[in-house]
Amino acid sequence: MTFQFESLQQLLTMDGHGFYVWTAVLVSMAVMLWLIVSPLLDSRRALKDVARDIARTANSKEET
Amino acid sequence: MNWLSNLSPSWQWFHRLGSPRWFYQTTGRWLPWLSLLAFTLLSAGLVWGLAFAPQDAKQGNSFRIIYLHVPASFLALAGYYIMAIAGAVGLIWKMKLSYMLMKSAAPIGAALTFLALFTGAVWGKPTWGTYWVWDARVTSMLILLFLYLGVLALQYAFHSNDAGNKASAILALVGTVNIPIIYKSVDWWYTLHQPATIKFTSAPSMHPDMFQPLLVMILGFYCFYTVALFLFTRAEILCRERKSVWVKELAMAREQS
Repeated sequence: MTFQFESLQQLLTMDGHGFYVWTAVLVSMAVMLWLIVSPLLDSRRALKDVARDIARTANSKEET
Repeated sequence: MNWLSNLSPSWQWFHRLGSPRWFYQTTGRWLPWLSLLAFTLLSAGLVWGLAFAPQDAKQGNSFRIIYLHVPASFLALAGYYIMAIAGAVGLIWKMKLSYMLMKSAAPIGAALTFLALFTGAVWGKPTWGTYWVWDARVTSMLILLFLYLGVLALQYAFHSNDAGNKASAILALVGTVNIPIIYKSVDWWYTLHQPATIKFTSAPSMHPDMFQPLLVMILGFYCFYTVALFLFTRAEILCRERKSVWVKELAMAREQS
């Protein structure tokens, strides 16, 4: 197994194919990151909403 | 469902599997390890494929896109089976959790199908000279994307959860017809798309030095898919079970820490 490029510059340009390869890599990373972050944010928001509702009903019970 | 657990002990796993709470807790224990495995496989496979695998004699370096394109396409198709089977189980056994899995599989499948099409387009430009062709493989993958989006849209098109679930499940099952068409499209029609690189019935048409990193990437994508499916389903469980005691306790514990 050998490193296929002579320099970092060559790894980026890939003999003219660099734009296509790296666009594919960056877009894939962005989409995959979204697939992880989006449900985590949804879960956090759901738990926060539940906690807020509990606090709110507890407060209204104290008032009456 | 009580009669199920009385029937025989072997049915108990099925019964427990239907419990959203059990799913939430079990996947919570698995997720750290599975995420670590997915991350390791994906980073190793990507570095290997992009920098260390030999370049293709005909296509040059543009062929390196295969390390994203093939795994994404694999999981876009495998994810459809998972969604359709989850829908069928939901229809037959009226299992809540199964519908939640089906609903969660839709956005992940749509995202991966988009990736398969997108990486295919940027691979097509240097190889075929065009980003897009209306050929059988590409068009049937586009239909797959619309099926995923359709299942997702039906979920929000009904006032009752139950009606939305049933409609989504039926669309998912009917859409299964498209899957063998996608697989066979490169054989049935004249197409620009190259035939399958990996077949179950014969050795891969690739040199081992190129094939090994691809295998690592496919395994990595399978792990990644599982992580994403767990995360989406867990979010769905918290949303649907927000009135239950265990979710309330979880929310309070989270608030206090």
